[in-house]
Amino acid sequence: MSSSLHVALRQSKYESLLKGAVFVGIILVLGGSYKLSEIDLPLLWSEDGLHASADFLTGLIPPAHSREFLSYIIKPTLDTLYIAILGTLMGVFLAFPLSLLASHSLTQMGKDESAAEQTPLKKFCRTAPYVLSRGLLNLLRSIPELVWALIFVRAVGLGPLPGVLALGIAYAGMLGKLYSEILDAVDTRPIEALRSTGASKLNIVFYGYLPLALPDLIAYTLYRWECGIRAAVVLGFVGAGGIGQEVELSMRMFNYHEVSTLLMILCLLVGMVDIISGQIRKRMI
Amino acid sequence: MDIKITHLHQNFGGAPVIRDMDFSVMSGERIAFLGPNGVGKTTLFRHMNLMITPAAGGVELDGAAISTLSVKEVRAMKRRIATIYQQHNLIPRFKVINNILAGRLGQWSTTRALFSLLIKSLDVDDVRDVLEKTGIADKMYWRTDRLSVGQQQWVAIARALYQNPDLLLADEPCASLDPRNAEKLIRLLVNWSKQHNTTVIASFHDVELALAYFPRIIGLKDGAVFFDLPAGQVTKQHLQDLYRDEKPREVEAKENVVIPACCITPIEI
Repeated sequence: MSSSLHVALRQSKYESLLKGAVFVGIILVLGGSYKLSEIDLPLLWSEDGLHASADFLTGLIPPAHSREFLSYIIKPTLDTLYIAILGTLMGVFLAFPLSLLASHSLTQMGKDESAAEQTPLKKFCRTAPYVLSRGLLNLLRSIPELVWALIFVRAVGLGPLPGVLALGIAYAGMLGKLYSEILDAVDTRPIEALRSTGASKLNIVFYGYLPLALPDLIAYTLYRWECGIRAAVVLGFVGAGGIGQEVELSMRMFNYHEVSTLLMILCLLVGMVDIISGQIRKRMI
Repeated sequence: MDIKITHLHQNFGGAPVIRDMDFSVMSGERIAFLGPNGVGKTTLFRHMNLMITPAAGGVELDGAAISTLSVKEVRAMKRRIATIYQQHNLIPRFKVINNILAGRLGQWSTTRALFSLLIKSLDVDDVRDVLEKTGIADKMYWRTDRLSVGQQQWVAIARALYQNPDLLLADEPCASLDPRNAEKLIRLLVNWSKQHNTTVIASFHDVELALAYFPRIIGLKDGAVFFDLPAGQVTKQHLQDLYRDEKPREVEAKENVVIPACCITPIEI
């Protein structure tokens, strides 16, 4: 009795030590990053800072609403929407096949079923696509879409196309990883039932993994699409078309009232996408 | 399909689940497995439907030693084996018809499988046949998760029959069925076996049902065959020994449970 009490005490002591260490660690990381990122809060309310902020804020009112300007920004607005839609779609189409290869449960499926085929070569053939596709997804994901946009603006010139390509490539990385994790988290019992009929992997994907994972796949894809709208705006700043490019131009010209119109349109766009994706989610799931 | 299990061994995480199991089954035979929980029945079934390979010993189906087969040959063999699980293991979002079509998934190419998902009227007649046998023909286009647990089990049974197997495995198929449905299921399996010369191997907790409908009974205990007898020769003593707990328990179960008086007095309606 006393020995088990001892163990419990020692464990709780160990646990509280660990908690303390984690707490100190978090403080150190936060403090360090505050110091290293050279945050200078007083600069915000220095005379210059206040002046610039006031200029910007008063410049926002009234928003530009000349007919000429409004008709001019229809196209960039649609461009942003298209970049988000096409970019996300491209991401989906690239991500899906990669996620099948990068799914642990799919690539390792049936590895115990044939004792006759446990050669090193077979093992290599099973793990190589998995490792390669994971590596590719990591590469696509770890380079931010902004950098991809800079690359593609150099490659194919200004306009919406580099935006679509950048978004598609970066989102392929993110969606691919998400998809593979969603596929791995699927209930294994129905999958086992399908496997026991001798079905091929691809048949099991269509008859098992996809219908089981569909709600999650759709929800995350729509969420990515919502993020895609905002990302498409940022990409515009580096010349990838759409509203972002207009915001950047107006900022540079100190046309702050145009900026405020553009920001309002952006809010509307994001809200609209939110409503649409919410509706799709409700219908499909 | 005939089956030969020789010196089968299996362990999970060091603990042996099946030890030195031996038995053989003739084509068209109907066998019921009995035995306490955790005795290795499900593991044995997973050997017979080729989902796992033995740690030692062999499984032979129709004379082919499974350990010598390639992945492709294993898959071809699996097509001839249908399994009914304790839980139905269906796709909840699918319509009933799609869950039943899944039974032929092993026989279909990917194109064929995709067509069956897209064109609804393709295989309706065959599906209706098995659904009528299981008594839920009116639920063909229902979403599976809208059915009751018992009805879902019937869908799983229909899926197994739709596969048209040579070997039908049923791992406690009656677990979620009421006594009347359980008997109906066993009758269906027996009739199907007689009509199609299908080998049927099932495990049960309901001893009386097993003895009534299955000509051969195998009792499993501690991962090995405890008795293997024609149903007529299984005695009460056999069953008592089979289910007796050999390990000493810390708390003995009370033999005479005192029932509170309030439960005995009849309730007036």
